[in-house]
Amino acid sequence: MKNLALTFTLALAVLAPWSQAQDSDSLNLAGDQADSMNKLDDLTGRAQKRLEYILTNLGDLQAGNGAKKAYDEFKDNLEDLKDIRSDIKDRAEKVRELQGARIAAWTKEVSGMSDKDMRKLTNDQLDKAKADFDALDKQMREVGGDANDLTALLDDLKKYFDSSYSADSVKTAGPMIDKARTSGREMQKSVDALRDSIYKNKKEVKGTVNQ
Amino acid sequence: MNHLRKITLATLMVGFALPVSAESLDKLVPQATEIFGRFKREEILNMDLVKDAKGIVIINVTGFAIGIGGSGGDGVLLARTEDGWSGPVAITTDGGTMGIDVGGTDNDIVILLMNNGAVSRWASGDHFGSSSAQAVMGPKGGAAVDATMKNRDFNVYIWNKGAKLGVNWGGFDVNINDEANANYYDKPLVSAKDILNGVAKVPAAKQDPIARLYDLLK
Repeated sequence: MKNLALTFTLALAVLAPWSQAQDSDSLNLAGDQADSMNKLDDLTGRAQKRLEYILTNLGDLQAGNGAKKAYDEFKDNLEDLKDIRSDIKDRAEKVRELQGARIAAWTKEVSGMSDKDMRKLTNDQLDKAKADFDALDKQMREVGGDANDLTALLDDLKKYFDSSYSADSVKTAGPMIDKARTSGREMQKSVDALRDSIYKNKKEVKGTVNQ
Repeated sequence: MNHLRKITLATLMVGFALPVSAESLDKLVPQATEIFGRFKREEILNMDLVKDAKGIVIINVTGFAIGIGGSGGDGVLLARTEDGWSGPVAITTDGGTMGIDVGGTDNDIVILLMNNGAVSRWASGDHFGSSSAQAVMGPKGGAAVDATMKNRDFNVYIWNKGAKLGVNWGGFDVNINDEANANYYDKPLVSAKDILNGVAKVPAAKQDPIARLYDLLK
């Protein structure tokens, strides 16, 4: 009987602050952040698809498969990729903003908690949420930096072909195309790993909104 | 006027019954990679079962006007060979209600083909009647895999805007997209069988995008 009462008290202690927090600012912001991360993942997927088209274009250029058509498509796909990257940068900034706002709201809510043990438990969760997002943000910035390098390389290729496009110039640019294809393949792996991290982090964020 | 209305209706019905326009493999491979990547990342798919599969179909099916023309889809079929996964075969599906519970929606579908007979049926462009195939939803990622799951013909996974639907396995046709395969492999007469047996290899120019799918399939 004593055990039952203790279990009931513990359950109340855990559930009461949680249910009270259902309408809190931090939970509403967590929902917005999860939505924004979904949009970031969607944009990243679109960028990956576009990069795969570009890699096919470069392969066709080198193999001489409808080279002129491949070159024209390469230019269009590169422009699309740059547009999507711009949207990704904006969306990543939005995710960072929401993370900052969510942590600030959560911190304020924690400071108002009267139960010492609950405050410590929630503070630990808060610290973990901050550390996990910092790790994700670092990964996003690293991949973003590599993506800048790759886009610059693809831009250089485009400029080179804009000034001189022929079977000979494609041959001369062979090492540069090889480098772009290798960087492109590496980029796809990095982005796949990043999307895994975004998904895991989003699940953690969503875990606070009971979805 | 009434006659004109009948002709218009008939034209619309024929139009709806046609398969969707077939895409090139240059577009289908990135589409398939995106679909498979999401299924793997979100643990919709059981990777232990993927390791046992003899073939895999990755397809996007659009359902429209249920009761008139069913649904149509574009995708790829790959088979396991001694040297790993084969190159992709472009396929289309039309008719039936494959995976469609509600009309007018997009469904991403991954089908694990668990035996060589199932692979052959897809590779030969078969008709799948509503009761001709032994197909059920596959187990989720992380779930224990048992012999029943390994021994059935297909394990089906469907994603629709975040909802995981039950299998609604109506009659549909599988068609081999010969034109797309010929263009991709640069061989006018390449057959699905040659691709799936590994006789026809993915050309060097096309290897970057498919390499990502192979990585994800591991």
